Amino acid sequence: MSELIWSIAKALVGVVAVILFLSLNVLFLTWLERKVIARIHVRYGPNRAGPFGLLQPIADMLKLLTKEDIVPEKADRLVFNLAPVMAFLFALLPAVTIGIGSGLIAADLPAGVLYIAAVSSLSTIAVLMAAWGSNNKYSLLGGMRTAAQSLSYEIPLVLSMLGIVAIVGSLSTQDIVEAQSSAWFGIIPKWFIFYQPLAFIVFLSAVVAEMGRIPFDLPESESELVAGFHTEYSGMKFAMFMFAEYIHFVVGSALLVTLFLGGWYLPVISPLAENLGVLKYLVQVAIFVAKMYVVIFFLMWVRGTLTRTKVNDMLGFGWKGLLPLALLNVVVTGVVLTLR
Amino acid sequence: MEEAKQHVLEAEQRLAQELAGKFNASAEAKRRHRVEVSVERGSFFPLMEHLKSTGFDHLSCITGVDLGESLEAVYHLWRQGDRVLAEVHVELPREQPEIESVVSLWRAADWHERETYDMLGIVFRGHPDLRRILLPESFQGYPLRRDFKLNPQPWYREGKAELWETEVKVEEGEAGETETMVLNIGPQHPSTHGVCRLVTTLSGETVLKVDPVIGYLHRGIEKICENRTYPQIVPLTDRLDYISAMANNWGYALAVEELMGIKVPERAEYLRVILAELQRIANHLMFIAAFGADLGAWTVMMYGFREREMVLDLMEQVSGQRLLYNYITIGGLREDVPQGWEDNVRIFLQELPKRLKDYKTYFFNNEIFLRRCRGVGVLEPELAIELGVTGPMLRASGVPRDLRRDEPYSVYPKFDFEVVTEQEGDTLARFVIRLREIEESLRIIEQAIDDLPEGEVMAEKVPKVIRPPKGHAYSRVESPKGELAFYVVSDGSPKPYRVRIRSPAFCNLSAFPHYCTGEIIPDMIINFASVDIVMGEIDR
Amino acid sequence: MSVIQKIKNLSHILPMSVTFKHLFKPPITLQYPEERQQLKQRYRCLQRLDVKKCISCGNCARACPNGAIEMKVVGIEEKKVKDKVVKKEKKHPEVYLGRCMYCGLCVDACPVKALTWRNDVLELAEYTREELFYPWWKLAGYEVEPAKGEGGGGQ
Repeated sequence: MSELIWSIAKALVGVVAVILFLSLNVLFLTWLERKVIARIHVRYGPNRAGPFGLLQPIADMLKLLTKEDIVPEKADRLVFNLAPVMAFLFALLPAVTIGIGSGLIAADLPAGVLYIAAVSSLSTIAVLMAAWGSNNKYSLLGGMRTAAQSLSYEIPLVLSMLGIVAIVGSLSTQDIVEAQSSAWFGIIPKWFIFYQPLAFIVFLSAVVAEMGRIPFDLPESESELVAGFHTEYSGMKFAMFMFAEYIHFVVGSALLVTLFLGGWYLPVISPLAENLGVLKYLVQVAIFVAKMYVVIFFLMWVRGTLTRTKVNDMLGFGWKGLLPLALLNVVVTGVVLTLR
Repeated sequence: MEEAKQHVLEAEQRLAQELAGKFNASAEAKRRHRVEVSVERGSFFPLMEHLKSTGFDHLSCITGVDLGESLEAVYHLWRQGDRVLAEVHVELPREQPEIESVVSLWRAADWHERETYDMLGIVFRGHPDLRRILLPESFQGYPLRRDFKLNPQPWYREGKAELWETEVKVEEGEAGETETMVLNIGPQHPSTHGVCRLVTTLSGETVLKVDPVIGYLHRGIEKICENRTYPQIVPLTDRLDYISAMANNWGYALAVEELMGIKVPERAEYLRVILAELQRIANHLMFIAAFGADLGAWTVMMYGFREREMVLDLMEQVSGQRLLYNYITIGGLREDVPQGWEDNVRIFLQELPKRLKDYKTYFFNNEIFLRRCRGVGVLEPELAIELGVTGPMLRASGVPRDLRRDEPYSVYPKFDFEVVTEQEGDTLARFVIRLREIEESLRIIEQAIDDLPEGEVMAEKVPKVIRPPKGHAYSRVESPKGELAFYVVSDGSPKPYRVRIRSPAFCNLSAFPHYCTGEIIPDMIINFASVDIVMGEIDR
Repeated sequence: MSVIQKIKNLSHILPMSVTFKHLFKPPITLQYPEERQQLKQRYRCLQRLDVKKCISCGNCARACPNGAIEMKVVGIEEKKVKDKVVKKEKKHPEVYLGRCMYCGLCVDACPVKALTWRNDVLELAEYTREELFYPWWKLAGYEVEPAKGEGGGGQ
């Protein structure tokens, strides 16, 4: 009985920790994104609200909280109101199996990678609900395009993870990071980016498309024609969608770091930190967060540079470009592993 | 020089003699590049057919003038071979102002005739779709007629406006029934092209038909011009193409100077050329910025505006304003350039090529951009000439026509520049040609700054009250968007009798629906962005 | 296009290097209201009237395309012309900024250069339309309307 209570308590603590971690990162990211993009544009970015504009996310939150909540007249109320909540919920789901330190994970499922692959496709439902419930043909058009994009890039995403799973022999994210926790000559880390470069490229492109960022920008601001599936949303519901989008961003980057960049392992520092007791966990979290922010910065840099793809280019790239590459990667990995 | 003039006038004389006997027309070679023809209404259409068959393939402008007892339609046609512009005048009785439409000969006449009908009530028989273009359908009266009184009662129509409801038509197709949908890409655009409404008929994502609806920015500038004195109209012309205001000023000043017979001093001519080429650079930079913003790369927009700031800085030093200058005026320039301005221009000439290198690195090594723009919106050269397209859009289709070389004005013959053309005619070509034109403009400015003479900037005998003798003049300049022309009719008073503005964006936009069918919506949007329109000069 | 060029294009490495370079350039934004833009010498914003030079000819009002300038009678002066005392109205221009388009025709028209441009003020927005109307003494630089006869101009 006490085992049950203990495991429930542990689960609750894990979930709260995950939500806290994600929320803090998302709030920081809204500021960071604006600053980085602004610097690329040779301008300042927010610098009025607080020192360096650090209180800008708070200002944004307050603004969105005080806005009027408009529901279109002929909208399907239940679906319309439920969509942002579902978007937020489904964005949070993959985060429970991503650990930021050894043992610092909300739920170390033995089928972690499989769970992530399964659950990450649920967010399409929320998008379609928003598109349908708005009773607006532009939203519907935008939502359909988003759904097509999400679907097309799911498959290369999952296939690129297969090679790693084959090498590690386990689906758990903790095991995947453990498998990368060693180095050649003590300096060059054995990260999977070196073992599976093709899978890295495929995964990077697919995860950018899943997040809906430039260059695969169709959901967020297809500003040429339609304004996307969240046209009709205002106030806190719109904030929920934005939150969900940034959570996707953070979770996607964390997944990339976990799978390809060695998680919380750094060649020289991690062995040194093994002997520090509890501080070891702090060092691991610091390393993980640092790597995550390197990836985040890179994705923001891409956003500041590239243009939007056309619909048919986007679909063509997914099906005719990434999918064959991912399959090729699986085949080559299989052959190499068999020969070993 | 005299021989060249003599030789070229021969072409005009030849044309005048050729037409004199036939078609009950009277023709006169007015000056170099101008032949004025007056014809009766009865033999008007045969004359136009004859002119079309002898090589007049470019219809520049159709103007309507209210002469008091009668109305007059004026047609300007251009023959590239011997560089002759024929000006055909037809007088129409006031009670029944009808004339045959020339749309079957030059498709460019489509919108011009609609506008003449809209403003003056001249009915063009045989026009496929004669309805109002700048004013709403329910407007009563013809504003540019001299006896027009603005109705104090509101004239808007009650009920629903047309084309607001999407009409879903069900058509029989091969595989069952297909539906076409009418989508309104409304006056408020997410992209920064001004208030233009595109009524598109779609079948799925494919565009079947586009009908631009303009007139949201119509301010009645041509009517206002009839109530202002000649110098007072110059700031008004700024507001036509507000992105490149120097070119508008220059076009108008050229027309009035031709009427008055004023010779502009040499220093003023050189400075005008420098300012116009600087303006061309600013306009093309703005085009690049807006094009990037349409594609989703807001970085390019920021960089483009940062470069444009450098040009606007130079303009502010010279005239005092950053956008609407009122600087090139009748007789020369308003005042001389300040001390040190030429050095600033030279610094600019050193600085800009480095920044342009960045643009080229950014755009031509960018696979997504190239895929998006290549092969989209291909405009064939013959179609372009027939539709009345001018400027960079025409040159991007491979037709080497440029007013600075074909009908040179000011001191352009002294400079060595090439007429930049591209062969493909797609959106990428229209983009590349503007980048290359920036470089050509830099070359021209460098040559002009090196040779800048000293002297006055204002002609000597410009009276305080400008009262040109009776007559009319048609002046054309190569504005950054194409051929900008002013037709000024004077009746001897300090205020003009009629000012007609032929704007390049108007004609380029009228060509747009004809070559963008069959594309998907994102392609059409990029296509629309590459036409480079400014609503100020389309609607006037 | 060669394969290398194609791969280079697809990886977008060169556009990314362009934006990366710009990441380290100093921002070009002007932090208004702490930093203000330096207006050029010839900048056209608000007119300045030099009452000592104004000869009440009214050219400025006639030159304005929009009718933004009106002449206001501020007094009657007497002058001796060939042994006769002639009464002439002394007028000064008043500008309604709501109609002014800053074209500069009024400044050009003034024969004695009494009307010039101030190049030090950029914030001309007001809360009501009435405040946009600049009487002659405001253009001349006075804070309040001077009493009749005082400071009302030369001659």
